Amino acid sequence: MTRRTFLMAMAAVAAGAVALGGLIVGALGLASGSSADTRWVPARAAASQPAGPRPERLRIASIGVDTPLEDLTLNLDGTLRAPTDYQRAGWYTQGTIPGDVGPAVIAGHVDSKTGPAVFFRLTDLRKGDIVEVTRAGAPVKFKVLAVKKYPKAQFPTDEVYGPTPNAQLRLITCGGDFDRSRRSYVDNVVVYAVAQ
Amino acid sequence: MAVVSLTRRLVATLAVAVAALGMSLAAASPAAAAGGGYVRLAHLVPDKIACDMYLQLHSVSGNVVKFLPSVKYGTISDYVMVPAGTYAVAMRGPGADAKSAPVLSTVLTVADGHAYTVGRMGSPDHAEARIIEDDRTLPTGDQAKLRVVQAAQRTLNVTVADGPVVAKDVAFTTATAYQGIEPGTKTLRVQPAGGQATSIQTTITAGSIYSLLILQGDDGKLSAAVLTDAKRSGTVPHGGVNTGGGGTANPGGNPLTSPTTVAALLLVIAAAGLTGAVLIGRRYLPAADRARR
Repeated sequence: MTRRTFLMAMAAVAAGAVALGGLIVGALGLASGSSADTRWVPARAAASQPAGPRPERLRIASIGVDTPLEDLTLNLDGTLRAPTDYQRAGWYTQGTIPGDVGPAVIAGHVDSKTGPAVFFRLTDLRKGDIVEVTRAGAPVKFKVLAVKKYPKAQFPTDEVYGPTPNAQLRLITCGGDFDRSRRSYVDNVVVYAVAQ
Repeated sequence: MAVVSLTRRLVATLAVAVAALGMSLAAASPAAAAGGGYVRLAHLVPDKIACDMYLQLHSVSGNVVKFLPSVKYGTISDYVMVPAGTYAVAMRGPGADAKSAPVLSTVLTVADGHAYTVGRMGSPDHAEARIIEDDRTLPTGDQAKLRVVQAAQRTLNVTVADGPVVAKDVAFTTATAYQGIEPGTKTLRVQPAGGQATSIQTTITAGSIYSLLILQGDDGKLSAAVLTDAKRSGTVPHGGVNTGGGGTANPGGNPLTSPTTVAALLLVIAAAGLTGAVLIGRRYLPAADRARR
């Protein structure tokens, strides 16, 4: 191999590896870091606790979900606490009650450490699918508007938690690749639904 | 000289690779907002003319998405949720054929996640179809947001009783920008220049967004109404949620083949390749060239 071709080969290897590595990092959405996971925010008093009956159950016939709802609150760092039980979804109690005007939030695990969990099939939901939340024994029906996936490092807080003119629901789970060093999925899957 | 130009070429190739890396990062930004936009119809011209209002797909001859008969001054409808796209808002005489040419109309482009108030606005001698964009973004901290939509033929100030000024010298046919406002039960005081003030008591919820609509009666007296543009309750969670144990992640879950590891390995190879190329390049540099360094 001549000196020239050797140098060119080295350059090509370096360039190719950088580009490919960059594409993978980009696809993972890792490059902007996950400061959101660790940033500490001062605890704030809940501005107003919702009044009225709490939701009891979530049913999504199209993906075989039928689960009682845990109460979810915030972690000390201000992030939403995930359900303690992998097979149960949870309702964020410091937010909107499903059926009231605003974005009500229900989160569930996509999998446990060993297998599928309650929201394993959440990404199978399609626009128009029906999601049912039982409240005071009566069902409140929501229609799926969209299913979106976002890198956690770029979670769209305004769109997911921002105020709405009507009664809406957000179903949240994890998706994308599993980052073993952080023991956490890279993405969040958010289902947007509106009360019928 | 060949080596020097080669080194330059190597640097240029790497620059291209780094640029490609930057572009791939930009492409990783999240998808657009979801679910469609919001439109409400309004009649804000203080006159006696009623009109049939239509929200139609694409144009004034498109399918009717929403129809409100005989809308009078002071009406603002609830929001209709529609897919993003192009719509027409048309105003026709009460009872006029839906296919007839409208008296007033405007084209409205609805973006995902955005909200609009559209309708008959302006003064009685210059009524027209107008669009006001409504806010749906989270207020900062524990605040709410409030703006004034002024549809009375006066200039006026709006203040929170025993509190701050919301808007000053608000002219007829204007909508102010949204202002931060503390949550709680508030009395909003509307004071026209040289006239009788009016007040309205309302409960402002943190995180929610309001419009204070100001109208005038037949006798010229002002009245006010608080519209909830968008609502939420409680505290906004910070960032995403950790909802997975990883039990169904990547086949076999072998950390050696995880994309993160592969990416890291490739970067190491890149670094080695670059170092190798530079070292060899240096060794073969002609003496004269080395002396220059």
